[in-house]
Amino acid sequence: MPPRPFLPYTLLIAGGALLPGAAAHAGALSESDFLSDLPVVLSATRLRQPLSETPAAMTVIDREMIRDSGAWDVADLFRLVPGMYVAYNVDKEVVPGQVVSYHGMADPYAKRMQIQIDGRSVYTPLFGGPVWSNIPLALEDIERVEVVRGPSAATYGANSFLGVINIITREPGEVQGTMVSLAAGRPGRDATLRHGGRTERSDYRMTLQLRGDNGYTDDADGRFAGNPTRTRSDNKRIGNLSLRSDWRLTDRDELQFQFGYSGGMRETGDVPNNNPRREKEVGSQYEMLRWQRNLGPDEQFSLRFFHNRDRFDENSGGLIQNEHFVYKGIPVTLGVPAPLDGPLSHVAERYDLEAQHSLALGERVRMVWGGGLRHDAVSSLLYMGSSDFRSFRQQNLFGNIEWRPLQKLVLNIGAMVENNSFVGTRTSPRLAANYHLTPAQTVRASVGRAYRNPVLFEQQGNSRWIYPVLSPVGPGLPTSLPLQYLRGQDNLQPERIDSHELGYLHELGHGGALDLKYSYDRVSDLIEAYFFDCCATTIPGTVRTFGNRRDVAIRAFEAQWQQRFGESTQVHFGWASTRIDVLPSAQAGPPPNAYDQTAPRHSQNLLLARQLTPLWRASVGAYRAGPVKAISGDSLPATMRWDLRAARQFRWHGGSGELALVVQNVANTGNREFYADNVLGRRAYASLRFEF
Amino acid sequence: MTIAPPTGNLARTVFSRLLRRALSASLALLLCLGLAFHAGRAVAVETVALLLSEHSGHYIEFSDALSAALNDPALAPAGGKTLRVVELPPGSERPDEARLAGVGAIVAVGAKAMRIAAAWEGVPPVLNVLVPRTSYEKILAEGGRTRRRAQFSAIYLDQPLSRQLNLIRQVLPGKRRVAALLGPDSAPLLPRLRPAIARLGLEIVSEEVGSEPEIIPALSRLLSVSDVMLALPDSVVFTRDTARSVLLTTYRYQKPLIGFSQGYVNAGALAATYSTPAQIARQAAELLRALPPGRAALPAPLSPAYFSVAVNRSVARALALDIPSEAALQAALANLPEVEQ
Repeated sequence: MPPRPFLPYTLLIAGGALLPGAAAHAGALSESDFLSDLPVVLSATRLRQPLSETPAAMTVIDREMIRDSGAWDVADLFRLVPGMYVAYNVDKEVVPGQVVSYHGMADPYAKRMQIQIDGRSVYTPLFGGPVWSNIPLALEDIERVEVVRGPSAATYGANSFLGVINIITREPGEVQGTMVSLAAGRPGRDATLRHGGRTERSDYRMTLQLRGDNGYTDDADGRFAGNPTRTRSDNKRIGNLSLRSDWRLTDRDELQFQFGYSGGMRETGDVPNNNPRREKEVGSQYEMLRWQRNLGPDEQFSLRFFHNRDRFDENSGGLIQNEHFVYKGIPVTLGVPAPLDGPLSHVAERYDLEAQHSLALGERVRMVWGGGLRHDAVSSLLYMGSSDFRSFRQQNLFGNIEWRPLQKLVLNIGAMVENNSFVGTRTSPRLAANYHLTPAQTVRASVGRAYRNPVLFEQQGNSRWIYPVLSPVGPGLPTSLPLQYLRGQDNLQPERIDSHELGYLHELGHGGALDLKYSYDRVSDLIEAYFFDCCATTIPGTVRTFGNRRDVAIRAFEAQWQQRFGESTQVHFGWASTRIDVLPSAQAGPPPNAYDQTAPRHSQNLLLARQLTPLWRASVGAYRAGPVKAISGDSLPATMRWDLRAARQFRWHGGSGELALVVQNVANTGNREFYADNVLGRRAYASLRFEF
Repeated sequence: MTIAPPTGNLARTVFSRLLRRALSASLALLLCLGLAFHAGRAVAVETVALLLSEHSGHYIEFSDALSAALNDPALAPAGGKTLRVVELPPGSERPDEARLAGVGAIVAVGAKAMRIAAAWEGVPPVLNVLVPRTSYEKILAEGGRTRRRAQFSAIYLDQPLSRQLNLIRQVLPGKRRVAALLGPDSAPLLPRLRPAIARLGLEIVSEEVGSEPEIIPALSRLLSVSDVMLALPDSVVFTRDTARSVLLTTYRYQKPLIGFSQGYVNAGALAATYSTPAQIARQAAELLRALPPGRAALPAPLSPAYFSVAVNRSVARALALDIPSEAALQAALANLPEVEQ
């Protein structure tokens, strides 16, 4: 017996069907349903290459894995990628964000990877790398993440150096209705509201997220390895707003518009006086417009424009005390140095235009080619010496041909040629061959070259602090002392990677796959910070600068296994072994960074999920990383972490939802990440999601 | 009522047969009179009247192909007739006697033409083409008993179910669970779909929806427990407006969709069997030529005999499927016997 409220509804439908002309559907079937053309929906640009045909090893994290992982924020997801090193809040430098680094050279900026969201590069031009904690992107809006484990400039453009993270967001047409998600616990609080709707010719979604993040929650005051450590001041309050709207202009033309804004406050600082505890205002925004014309099921032309803007404002003026010390028996007092005595702001902008044409040339050849223009502008009084905007311009042309000379052989031949205002013209070629031993087994071999351009901070950085001398004062005595902190010499070459990869893929059915990969990469002209003397600084030989000073070799072996057991159980396992050797160089003395320790020698990850009953779902994540010492980080022991998640799905008033409990680092191992001060203990949070 | 004077052997034969029938079945006098009327018109049976839904696009394509096929000596069966085509002006008025003089059969092209022709009384038999099966059956049902299939038949646009299911077997060997999302038009197919699927050793999972908002949730449920989605023509489920979200959803589940038109394959379905207006025209030409001389009784409605197979190679590649060429698939399907539905 159905519940009573349904009864009139049933009658209504039944009654409607009886009325002449009141058909339950819009129009009768006609021949045009059979004979008309339809707009191309699954165009080649929307389809992904099967793993057996990609020119590089790839890890795909889909929505199910995102949910099962219990990730608190986006960067958490990359712990599932073999060879990836992830740490939470790293904010002793300027950019507040997480560390996400692949194959070593881990530093606070993750600048040796390309990060794209729907094809938009989120690489901030001042320091490089994305501002992970400030991207207006809710986990719920991610459709999947594709991580290319290797250089891929021919396909993903400049700075696709050690790897590429390609985030694809959900199609507005698929998220119609309203979703509310609430989460709270030790990591912080989060409220996300999304609404998806449609008009006659468009689908759109809007997401509003308010987040209070507690950062590292464990007390780190004390000592580690003989050095003092302090509890991090890294809470943040961020509001994110994002909008995506997909328009069908004609049967052949689609227009996508995206807008996002992220703004709020972020705590920073840990050392009194040098780096006082304070709040930073952070803001990021972007606009993107993408037009695609479908010239056929196998041919598309697209034009894309985007603009990113990242901004950080702070004022430590009132927080810094005068310095008192004794110099040759004379007591000296220095005031607060300019420009640290007033408000400081860092602004980074990027304008990017790209055209792309993809087409099939017969049954065996597909091709994509295009070109782009980019303009970066950065203003930072503290790091660039003035508030004027400094520019970086780049033009590129790229192309990739996928050729199938034999049924079992796929060749990818591609290159990108770029010209930029820092280093002139460079060509990044790649050649990859995938051979299908059997329908399920593929071997892959590839060689390629890619470049990382120096960022503005490295190339033209200029940070000069002027200390006023408050005492002693008198005739002949200096009234101020200049301290040149940083000076870029505008002479950097790009870093170069020459990559060689051998892979084996065994597809195991039901979407399961075993993927093995060995790579040998040689990274030349690594840009390294060192001290030199210039600019009449008060303490000679202490000016930071950058040079192409080091070559390293990276050998890595990685395994990834994904399998589904029956309808209800899924497992994902990743294992990586990375060895970095510093190659002999002309530079005297040992490198300032122990590059061989910038990636864990071994790391593993595991995600096991099971639908226990139609309503209950449980998952276990395990993440282990060997000892690591990142560039400008501390030397830290291995970490091990177990995460648990249990979820109850439910239906309520016609909507569906899920109530989940996540416990990260169940064993409370007090993992230290990047800095000894970053202690990650046990963290639990509950979340409720409801869609209607 | 007058009976036109018989001319020639053909008409005489018809006339005598009519007389025999009238004598042996005197209770069907009215009907016989009606038929006699037709026979009178059919004395010069060499003309086919075309009624197009619109003078454009696919209808012109059909009309041109029909004329070409009727004039093509290579296609003419031994001793077959040569037929002339005249086009009737569009409109719901019954065409005048002069226009129908010598017309042996009317070919109504498209659903709009079918509706118009269905309202005519006392005209030569109507062969409906470029019409969906459900539209035809609906018209037939509305007409009640007044319309007999022999006087109002069709060549459907719909491919036979067995052909579509065999396509699934050809492009996805080893995949057994076929999902069908049914709407108001396709739901009546279910009783025929079940045995057809069982005959091929496949399994079916199906759901029925009545309105657009129900589609994606139902589709998601079906896709999570099936290997392939079979799209059946329906005015709610698989329309121009829903194609986008339907295809995106099937792709998200990494499941192929078997469509029913070239357009669906271009848009992102993995494969489809379909018939072009020219292919239907060829079948119509053969049917018209093979009609017995004189009063034409049309055969029962037919599925398309000539068809093509379309495969979306980009989608096949993205789903890591290795699929034979379209020509090979077409040949394989053409050789399979079609099970009567």
